Amino acid sequence: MQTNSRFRAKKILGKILIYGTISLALIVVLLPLYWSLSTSIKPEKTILHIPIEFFPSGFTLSHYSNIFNIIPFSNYLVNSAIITGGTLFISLVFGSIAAYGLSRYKFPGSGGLLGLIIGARMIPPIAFVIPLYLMISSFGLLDTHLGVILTHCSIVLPFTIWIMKGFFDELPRDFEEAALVDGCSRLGALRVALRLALPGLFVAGIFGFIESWNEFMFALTITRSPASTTATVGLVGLLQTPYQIPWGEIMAGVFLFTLPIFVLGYFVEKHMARVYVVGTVK
Amino acid sequence: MSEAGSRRSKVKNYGEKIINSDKFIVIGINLRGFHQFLRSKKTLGLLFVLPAVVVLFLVFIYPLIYNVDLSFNQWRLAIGEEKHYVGLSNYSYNFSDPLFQKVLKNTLIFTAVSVPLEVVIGLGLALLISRKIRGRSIFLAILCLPMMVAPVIVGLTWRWLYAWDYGLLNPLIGVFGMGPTNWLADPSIAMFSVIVADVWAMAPFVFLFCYAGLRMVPQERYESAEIDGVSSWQKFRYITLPSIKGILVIAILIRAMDAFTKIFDVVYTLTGGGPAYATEVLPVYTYRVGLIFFRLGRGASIAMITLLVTIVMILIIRKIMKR
Repeated sequence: MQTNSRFRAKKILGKILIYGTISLALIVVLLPLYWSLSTSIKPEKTILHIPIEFFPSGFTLSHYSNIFNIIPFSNYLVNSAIITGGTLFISLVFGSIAAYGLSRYKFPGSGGLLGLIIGARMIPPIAFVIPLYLMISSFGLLDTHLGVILTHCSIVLPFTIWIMKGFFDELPRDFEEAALVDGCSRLGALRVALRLALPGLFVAGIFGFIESWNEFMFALTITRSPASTTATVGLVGLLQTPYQIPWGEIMAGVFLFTLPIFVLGYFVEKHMARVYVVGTVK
Repeated sequence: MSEAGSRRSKVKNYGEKIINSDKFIVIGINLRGFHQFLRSKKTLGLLFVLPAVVVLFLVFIYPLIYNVDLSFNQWRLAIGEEKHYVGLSNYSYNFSDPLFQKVLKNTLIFTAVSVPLEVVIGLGLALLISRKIRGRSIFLAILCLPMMVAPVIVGLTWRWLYAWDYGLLNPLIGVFGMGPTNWLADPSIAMFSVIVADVWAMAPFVFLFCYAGLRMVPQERYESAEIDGVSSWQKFRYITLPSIKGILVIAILIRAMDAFTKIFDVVYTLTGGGPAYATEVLPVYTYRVGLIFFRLGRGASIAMITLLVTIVMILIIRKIMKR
């Protein structure tokens, strides 16, 4: 009887410990996000206030309109969207066809190409940013959308090929063979396979979107003016504001910028383990 | 045998059907040969990968090769210098440069502290979450949030948390009786602050990695161990750890490689490498030398050192994964 109650007490204590630790982790994860979000809706006076206000006493959306006035933030968002869209277009079209080729055919150099694609996922952008800058510059593509799109392709294209190859590998060949027997051309078979791999294309697209939208270093290197500056570069540029950094506006921009990522991330959350774990390991 | 044979003949028929069809005859070249060439699996595979390979060559392979060439040249763009060959002098300059040594040391410290922290936190949380608990999917969703936040945004957010006067962190540690700290301006603390921000962003990656690994451990092993009355520590030590050792080693190596070669955005936004180069890490320094000071050759030589470290790490990872 006594041992039983001790056992139960131990079990309850264990439960408290488990849920306590998890709660602590959740707080640590959410606190910075909460602090940013609350800053973005606080009136200026309460942002620059000692002692700090953990729970905002006032509410304003002025930072959200102000961010578009103090910097051309709408330009930056549009630039980010164009660059992400262009990167996705090139990467998904070329990447999925290449992934199909790699998955279905063996040809001289296919093994090496596969190794290269895995390597491209691991080799850091800093290792080739200087020559890439010189090349983009010699093409006359500095401060253009296309210039940034090309640099982003060096990250997103190998990623797309890798994800799509995984999807094609798991796709049974029966459908394509049936299509071939029915008199479809090889390209027709590719179309059949692509339609079946559409969910894969969707997942690859979202991950590619996140990579390109969030990218900073290449954009910093290539962009110069509001004509091509991306949202990441624009927001970081606000740190150079003299006297007082406009934290309310920065955090408003941060949330406008991050919202699409959170929405899209919601769709691929269950794939994250697969892509980030299997995608990098296999 | 007969099935495969009939399929083959069907495909062959299909081939002949195309070759004999009108539109090919109209063009009037040796279509049979050309078609055979196109239809060969090798050619088709090559054709499919060709567009992607062209793009990759342009934006990835050629820059890597060009970088090797650059690293053997001196080319200070800021003073309008012409590119000229200097052999290995960029490399020898780097290794005798005290600042480069400091940067190397900073990067090693950053890697050696942040990666173990991430592994302990990530593995610990994965062990907790993979138990039978309520609300797991919500925990998972929240714990994975930092992975989606752009590294630049991580830097901005933490810079605001660390703000000396109006930030959240100083009042927070004040609750525990600690005085305000100059998180980012104190050279002895700045690296620690950068590491904390990076751990916040990257521990979820290790967590997800470990969680995926833990889910692959067959449950029967635990069940039979429970019948034998094994303690939870013994279960962890003799069942869990050996089962996920492989994936854990890979996670550590990948994280170490990324920490050493890819940490840029967070440092750039938090401290910009300061104060007094206290948080200057290898990628930030490469960028500074190459694309801010425009010493292209020397920047390329530092990038080469980073690349060599990466390649060595890739080879190690591949060797471990083959086992």
